[in-house]
Amino acid sequence: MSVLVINLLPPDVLREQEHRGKLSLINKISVSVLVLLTFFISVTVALRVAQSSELSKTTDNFAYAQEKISTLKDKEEQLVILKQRLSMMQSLIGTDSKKKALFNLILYLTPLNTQITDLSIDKKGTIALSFSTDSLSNVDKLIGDLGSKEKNSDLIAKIELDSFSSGRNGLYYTTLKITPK
Amino acid sequence: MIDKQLKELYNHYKTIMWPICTSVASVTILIFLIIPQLLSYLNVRGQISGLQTRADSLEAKAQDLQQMDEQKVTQDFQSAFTVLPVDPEIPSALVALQALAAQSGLKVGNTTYASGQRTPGKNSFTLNLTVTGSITGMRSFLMSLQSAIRIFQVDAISARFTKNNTLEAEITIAVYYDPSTNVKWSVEEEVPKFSSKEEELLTLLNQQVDNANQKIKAQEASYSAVPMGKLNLFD
Repeated sequence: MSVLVINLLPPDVLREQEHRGKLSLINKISVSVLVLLTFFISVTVALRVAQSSELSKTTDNFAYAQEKISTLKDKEEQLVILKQRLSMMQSLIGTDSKKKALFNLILYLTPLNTQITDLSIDKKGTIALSFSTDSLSNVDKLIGDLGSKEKNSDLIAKIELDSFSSGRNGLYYTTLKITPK
Repeated sequence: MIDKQLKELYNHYKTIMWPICTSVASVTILIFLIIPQLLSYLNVRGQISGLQTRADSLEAKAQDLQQMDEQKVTQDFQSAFTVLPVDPEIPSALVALQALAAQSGLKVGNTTYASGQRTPGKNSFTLNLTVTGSITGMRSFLMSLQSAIRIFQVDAISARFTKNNTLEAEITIAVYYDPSTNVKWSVEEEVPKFSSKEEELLTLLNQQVDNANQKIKAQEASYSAVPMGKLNLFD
């Protein structure tokens, strides 16, 4: 059986009650928002204070580490200078290895019964070689060996015959100009 | 009259004034206080992190430097400056060359000096050496220049050979030195590390300097064995 509800209060009063209810809700929400904001503000302030302390500590650590490195400055400078010098040495050492190798190569390839009279290597590494021998085959052999990549260790780029003559003594005099690679 | 009007206005709007004021205050606090502070917090957090990283790398660098063998570093340093000195040190270079020639069985004739180039990284002077001896001696001399106490680089060779397998040669040798000792030092730069080739070179340099020093000591010892002057001043 349904229940009939009759409200005997006048409509004005009912409207007034409803209105007050809404206002009360709005006020409660406003207060909650203010409380929340106050909470956020306190959290923010607390975080900033803690962070400030951490920043100060980290700055001190960094300054301490810098000071520690400063006390070791001399040792580090020694290492830097040493490294620079080694690098320079590496660029200088061995720049003459080709000249020495060519000098030794020519002596090594010179056949028996062949007399080198003059051997000079200039600053660019160009070689002037004068030799005498009693056999044309020795001349041929020496020039051939100097020109062979296998025998000259790929050190020689060009061989030019500057002069060739034979003497009354039966000897052949040859002058070569050798250009290195 | 104005009071009455104000009172009417207040009575009309009093119900919504509190929510409006609260909303305005909340938005103002949010925009001008909370958000800037949070952004500032995040910014400073980044700075702290960067600073801590730098401090850690400096600590590691300090540890590396402290762990290094100071004696070895000093020895390497001295060897490097012996082989590539700051000044030309011409007399010592000449003595070293003549000693190498003599050890290889060559006789040293004339020696002349010529000032060389002065480009950064390639400062040098030139010594022209006239030597006579065997071909083997000459080869040995050229090889010994590699392990000498200075950096000797052969610029030119002019040799005249005789029938009995001997030669007379004029050798032009460039001798290097390096006057630069300035270093741009920075706290936060890494400690220099040596490659394996550089370590090998250092070992070689130390050996060369040790050998040269031993020879000098042996020579000095031989000089001291020879009595100098009168033993009794009143004889």
